[in-house]
Formats: sequence, C-alpha cells, structure tokens
Amino acid sequence: MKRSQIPLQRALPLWALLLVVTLMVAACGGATPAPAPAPTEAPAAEAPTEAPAAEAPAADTSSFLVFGNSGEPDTVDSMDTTTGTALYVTQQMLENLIDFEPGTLELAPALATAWEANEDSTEWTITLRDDVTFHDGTPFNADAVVFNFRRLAEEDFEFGFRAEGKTYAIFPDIFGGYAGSPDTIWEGVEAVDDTTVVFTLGQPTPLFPNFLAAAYFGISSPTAVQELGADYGTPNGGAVGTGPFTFLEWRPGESISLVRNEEYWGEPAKMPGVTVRFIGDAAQRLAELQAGAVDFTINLAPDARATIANDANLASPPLEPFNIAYLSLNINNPPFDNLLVRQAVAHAIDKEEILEGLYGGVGDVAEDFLPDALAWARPTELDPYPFDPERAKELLTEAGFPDGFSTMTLPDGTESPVILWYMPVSRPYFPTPQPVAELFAAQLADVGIQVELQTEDWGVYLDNWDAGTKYGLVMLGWTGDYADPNNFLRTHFGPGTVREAGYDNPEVFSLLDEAGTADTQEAAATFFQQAGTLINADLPRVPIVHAPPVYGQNAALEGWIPSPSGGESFANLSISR
Amino acid sequence: MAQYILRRLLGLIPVLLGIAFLVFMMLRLIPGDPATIMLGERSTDEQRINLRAQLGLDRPLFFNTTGEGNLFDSQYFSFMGRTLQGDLGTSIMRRTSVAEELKTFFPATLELTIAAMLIATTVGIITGVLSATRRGSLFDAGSMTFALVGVSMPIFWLGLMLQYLFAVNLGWLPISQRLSPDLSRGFQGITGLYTIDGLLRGRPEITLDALHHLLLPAVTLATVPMAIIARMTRSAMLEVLGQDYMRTARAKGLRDQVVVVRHALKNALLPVVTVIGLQLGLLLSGAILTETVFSWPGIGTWILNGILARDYPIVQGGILFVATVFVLVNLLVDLSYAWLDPRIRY
Repeated sequence: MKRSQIPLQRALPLWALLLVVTLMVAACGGATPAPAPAPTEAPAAEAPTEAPAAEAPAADTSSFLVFGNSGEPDTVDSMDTTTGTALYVTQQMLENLIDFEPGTLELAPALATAWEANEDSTEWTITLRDDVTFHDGTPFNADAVVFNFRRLAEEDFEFGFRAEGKTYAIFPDIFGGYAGSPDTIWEGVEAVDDTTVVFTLGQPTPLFPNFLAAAYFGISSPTAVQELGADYGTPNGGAVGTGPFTFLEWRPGESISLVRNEEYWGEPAKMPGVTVRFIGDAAQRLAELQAGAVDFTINLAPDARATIANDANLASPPLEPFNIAYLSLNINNPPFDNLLVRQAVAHAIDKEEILEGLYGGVGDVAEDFLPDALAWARPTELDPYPFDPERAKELLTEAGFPDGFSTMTLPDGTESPVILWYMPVSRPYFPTPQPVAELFAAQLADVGIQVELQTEDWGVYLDNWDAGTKYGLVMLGWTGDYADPNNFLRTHFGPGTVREAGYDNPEVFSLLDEAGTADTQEAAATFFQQAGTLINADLPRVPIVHAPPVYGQNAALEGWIPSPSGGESFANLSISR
Repeated sequence: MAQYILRRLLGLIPVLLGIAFLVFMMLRLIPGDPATIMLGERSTDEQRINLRAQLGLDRPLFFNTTGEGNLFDSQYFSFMGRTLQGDLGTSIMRRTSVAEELKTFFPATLELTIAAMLIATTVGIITGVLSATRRGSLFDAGSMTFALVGVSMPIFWLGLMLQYLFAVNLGWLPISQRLSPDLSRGFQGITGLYTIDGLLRGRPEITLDALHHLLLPAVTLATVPMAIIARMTRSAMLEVLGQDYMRTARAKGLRDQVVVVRHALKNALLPVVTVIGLQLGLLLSGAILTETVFSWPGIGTWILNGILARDYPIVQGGILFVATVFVLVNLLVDLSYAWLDPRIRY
C-alpha cells in the first residue's frame, strides 16, 4: 500500500499547481482588458468575410456608457408600457413633444417649440420643429404626431396592432378612456400644417402640456411602426425615434445597446453609445457599480448610501423625492371606520424615527400626499398629525378602546386580528418594506394597537388591493409621472379608488375635478387646497415619507442629473476611463 | 439495446404529458394574474378584462361547457395541441416566440452546466480517489470536511462571496455576464456557446473572454456536485479497493497507478456515474440561483423572470424543455452502465 501513495502524493502538488496556474491565467486576463479592442479590430479587418455584418464598429465601443437598469424592459415602445425599466431605455431613442428641464419638473421645449391653449384650455395648438428626421430617415412632422396619438387613442386604428397584443394601457389612465369612451377627455388630434398640430379635449385641461411631457408619449417613426407591426418595441424590432441614440441590439436577459445618432438635430450625445444592462437585484447593482462593471445605476437599497459615501470611486447624484409612501386604513373594517381611531393611528406613528432608521435620514417626513415639487397645491394651513402617543391613547379612549385593540371586523361581520400588509417588493418609497412594517407594528403596539404582519405575492397584493379585499392596514406608495397634483390626489382619493379601501367623499371628488379643469394654476390651487384639507381631516390614508430613491454612479461620470419623475436622456453624460 | 432505447423513449411520452399537465395546473393554481402584473399598480378593471381576453386567459381551463363552440376550446387543450405540434407559444411579456427565446437562453445554461460538470467531475473524482487511497490521512480528513461543507453550502451565498472576493475586492475576474460588453456588443454567435463561437468566428479573444467570465459561476455551480461526487467516489473506491481482485492485481506485479485507475476506478465508477447523471439534472435547477447571482442570461434567469411575470408560455415551455433534457440525460446514464459493467445487458 505504501508504494501506491508516492506517485499520487507527487500528483497532488502538480494538481494544485495546475489550479493555481489556471487561476493566475484567468486573473491576468482580467487585469488587462484594455488591449481587447485592438484584437477585435484586427481579425475583422483580416477576415472581413467571416465577420458578420451585424457586428458593431469595433473602433470606439469601449467607451460606451454602461447603465445598470433595475430590470429588463417589457418593450421599448414607450406608448405600450407603464414600467420605469422600459422608459429609461425609450427616453434615449424616442423624444417627447415637450420635455422637462433637467432635474426638475419645469416644462422645456423638445420636438415642440411652442404650445398654446385656447381660452378654456380645451384646444392646444402645438408648434413643431421643422428640422428633425427619424433615425430611419422619415421626416418628423405634424402627420407623424397625429399618427402616434391616433395609434394610442383610437382602438380601431389600422396600425395600432391591438389584436397582436399591444394595449397602450397608459392612455385611459391619463385621459380617462380611449377615444369614444364616455369617460375620456380625449376628442382628437389634427394636423393643421406641416409644423402645427391641434389637440382637442372634452374639458378644460390646463395641465395638458405636462401630460405630453410624461415619458410614455415618446414619438415613434410612423414608417417603423407600420413596417414592424407587432414586432415594434420587441427585441426583434427595437424602436425608431428622433432621439440622441439609435437602437443597436437587444440581447434578451442581458442588455440593450444604443449607438449615438450622428445626425441628431440637437447637441449630439457625448459618448458613442450606451449599454443598458438588466440587473434585477439591488445588492447586485451595487456590487457591479463597485466592481466598475456599470457606470451608473438606480434604486439601490438605503444602506448603499453609506457604502457609496465611503468609496472614493463612487458618488450619488442629487435627487429630489417625487413620491409618497403611505399607510392605508380600510374604512370598511371597523374600528377603522371611526375617524378617532384613524387619527390615533396617525399620532402613534413616528415618521421621523422611520426616516432616520430605515431611509438613512434622507427624504422628508410627509404631512401631505404632495411632494415638494407640487407644494403650490398643498393646503396652506394644514392641521397635521404629529407623533404623539399620549394623544393617540386619548383618542383611542374617546373612541371606546381605552386599552387599545387587536381585532377588526371584516365586511361579513367576522372578527379578525388586525392585519398590517407590507409589500413583498422594494420600491423607492418603501425600499425595505418589512423593517418599516416592523417599526409600524412596534409603534402601534406602544399605544395599544396590536397588529399582525402579513405579505403575499406582489401580483396578488395588487389584485386584492384593487378588488378591495385587503383589510386592515396596507402599505403602498406612488411615484409621480408628471407635475400634476391630480396624479397624486385623484389617483388616491378620486372616485376610481372607492373600492380599494372604502374612502368615498363626493365633495373631494368634485373639488379634484374642478381643480383639474380650472383655467389657471391659481384657480386650480384653491380647489386642490380645499380638497387637501378635507382629505387631511378624513384621513383615509396616512402619508409617511417622501423619499428620494438611492442612485449611485462612478465618481468619474459627469453630467448625470436624474429627473424626479424617473428617467432622463443620457446624451449629456460622459465618463473618462 | 435498440429495443431498450425505443422502449425508454416511448416511456418518455406519458412522463412529459404528466409534466405538461402539472406545469399547466401549478401555474394556474398559484395566485396572481398575468394581466394585473403586466398592467401594474395603475390598471382599471376594464383594461385587465381586455388584456385577459387578448391573452386568451378568459377561456375555460379544461372543458368548454359554456355551450358556445367546441368542448375542447379551452386553455389546456389549445396549449397541449400547440405543444404537440412543436409550438411552445408566444411570450406574454415580450411577445416573442418561446422557442426562439429558448434558443437564445439555453446555450448559456448549457455552457455553464458543461463547465460546472467538467470541474465537478474532474476535481470530485480525483479528490475521491486520493482520499480513498490515502484513507485516514490528513488529506482525506481535510477533503472530506470540505466536501461536507460543499454539500451544505447555499450556492447563492457562495456565489456572492466569490463575487465579492474575486471581482469586487481583488478585481481579478469579471463580476457577471458572459462576455465583456465591448466584445459582446453586436457579436452574433453560431452555436450560442461563446467559448466555441469565438473560435468558429475566428475571434479567439472572445473565447478567452468567455472562459474568463465562465470561471466564477462555473466554480459556484460546481461546488455541490463536486462535493457529492468526491464523497461517492471515495466510498465506492474504498469498497472496490478491499476486493480480492485488487490483491490479485497487485500480486501480478502491476504498477499502483494501473491498479488504482484501470482496475479500481473503472469498477467504482458505476455508482459515480449515476450520481453524475442525477447531478447534471440538478445543475439545471442550481443554475437558477447561480444565474441570478451572476446575471447569466440562461434558462434559469429566463424561467424565474417568467414566473415573476406569470408569463405562462415561457414557464410551461421552459419547464417542459428542462424536463425533457433531464429525462434524456438519465437515459444516457442508464446506457453508459452497459459500457462500464459488461455484466449489464439491455
């Protein structure tokens, strides 16, 4: 037996050596990525027949920007999506008629140079640029704009490809319904001449230009839409717009690459292209940023702030919150039908502690649903509900619960423990829903309200929420699409929300409607403020915080000014490597 | 032999039909509606109803008893009908053909699985043989402790740790993906296995880059099967080494390597091959975790995203495909027994 061990013993160090050498070879390969572009060029030049036509120009690809997106887009047809991951990509290729000034929600000209309303804001005349062509050479003009909006609005439009699966779900959300539906404010769009279009609306819509600035309304080439049909916006078709970047390729599961549009009508993009990678996990995005594999990324966990602050190679771009995290109280479940109980809940919650403990102190405690950018529409004299456990206990006593409570009544009359629902997913407004819920539970327990924490699959969570079968306390939130207070208020307190958690105040509905159709912003502000005061008094949902999402970038990246509404052009970004 | 293979292949049919039924049911039993998930937080009832109709989700599950149309005009029978014709349907999410997506994603998983299997079998068998021949030594104790740790290691955690060490801190290896962005941009593969495509396209730097990217995820994925194979090889070898014919072989004056490799190892391989076959199937499931950690665009990531989005056609097609591969691999394993052990006849 002894003899047998000798050769094997010798083999062992050999094996170890092999392993070490392999690792070293691998490591050396990693240390020298720089020469890679050179060999890429060489074989392509030597053997052009072998290199397929689809291969990218090898010259300057190494200086593409790399963006760590929080997921894979469902489509790059901006009008046929509602997800932020898609809009980040579409905004590089497709441009809106009206855009936002960088980093704000102030309107700025884009494909439109001017916009003007008639007296009661039911007709909007938009003047277009006359020097723009789409990436495929199609001229951009009034007909193209009409084509795009008819595609969205008219369910029988020839090139809507609805039968093939396109839905344009955002349109009824913003306009109340598709063309011809009883609830829609949409009447039509018409080309007056080559550079003028007129939008007609069924009721005064002073904020219409803000709608047009929402990322969904990127203008696509009518030629491409017709030719590609249902493939438009998919990995097979890409998207064709007028923007600073053109579509190169979509590698499913991996990334989308866009190259600089050299014919761009405005200031051309600083970098030769951008690769948008799909990285679903926030911790993974941070690791990729640290490893230098992505140049900038979005929606990190709050504790990433510390990591970024301690790493000289990383930075955080400035960002204002444009969202609301809230706790809804289902009015259909006694005792939450009792205003005193709802007030007690609001007084029991220490929003400051939540902001400090779980958001790294970045953001604002919310006393109203509207974020700072829409402060003009907030009630001037709001009677807020500060953290005051003693007051909460008094209110509970007054409501008939001197020792608090631990059960609620379901609509069928049965008793159930009080449930506090927390989201199973991370969103910028609630980046860590479970710890927040635990803190809520502890704070509520301090005044005698015992809750049970529960969660469920996100799709089911939303289904049950919409169906009004989420009883008790529900954590949810919202990020605004455009600078319209109704995008926050009507979405949460309008007639369409009655079923969600039982809040039904016709006075609020009509005030919000009047605000939405008021001729001037001053007039609108008065209605919004009155509505806000009523909402604050009724307290169907407790606003918690306005929290900016956590973004991270390589310190060498310049020019990134994130938009509060999520998504902006990357044309001005540059990085030196 | 041919008859045996034919019988086994025929046996595949009920297995796959059963799997198709199970997948179909499971997806519809878990709560969550694709239309709601697609439309998100801000959809109306009307939109959801329209989308469900568009996607065919408003049709009866099994039998159409509404009286209108054919009894078999249902989700299940149209799914089975299409599947039997080789049509896996169209992704709800991206509206691309599932078969086409499978062609995009499967090679990535295949490449990763092959690499992991190579690492796991080589290292596993060598370690097992060394441990057995040096039973009770420090090496034996050490490697078996490692193997025990390896078996119990949560691989996503291991993946994250390796990533932090080799990619974030040391910067030796790429953190994720299959190729560096500069190389992958515009690169069209032939087989989809980038290590091979690089050579086929005359671009060796692609092959090197692909190997470089493959190392961390493959090692991560290989850990569990490597540990299992090492332990199995060791115990099988110990059993064989104690047999009389081992003594005979040595008595004949054969060199130790010959005795160990040709006489002992070949006979010890039978149970090891069974384990390898099973592990190969399990690797496909382990790939879901590994692929997620390393942003590896394979079927694991693909099916996972399909599940999250309730993209029924992707999940159905993906799982059916994986099941078929699993069953075929097991068939191959069974056939290899005949080669390893001449006493086995089919």
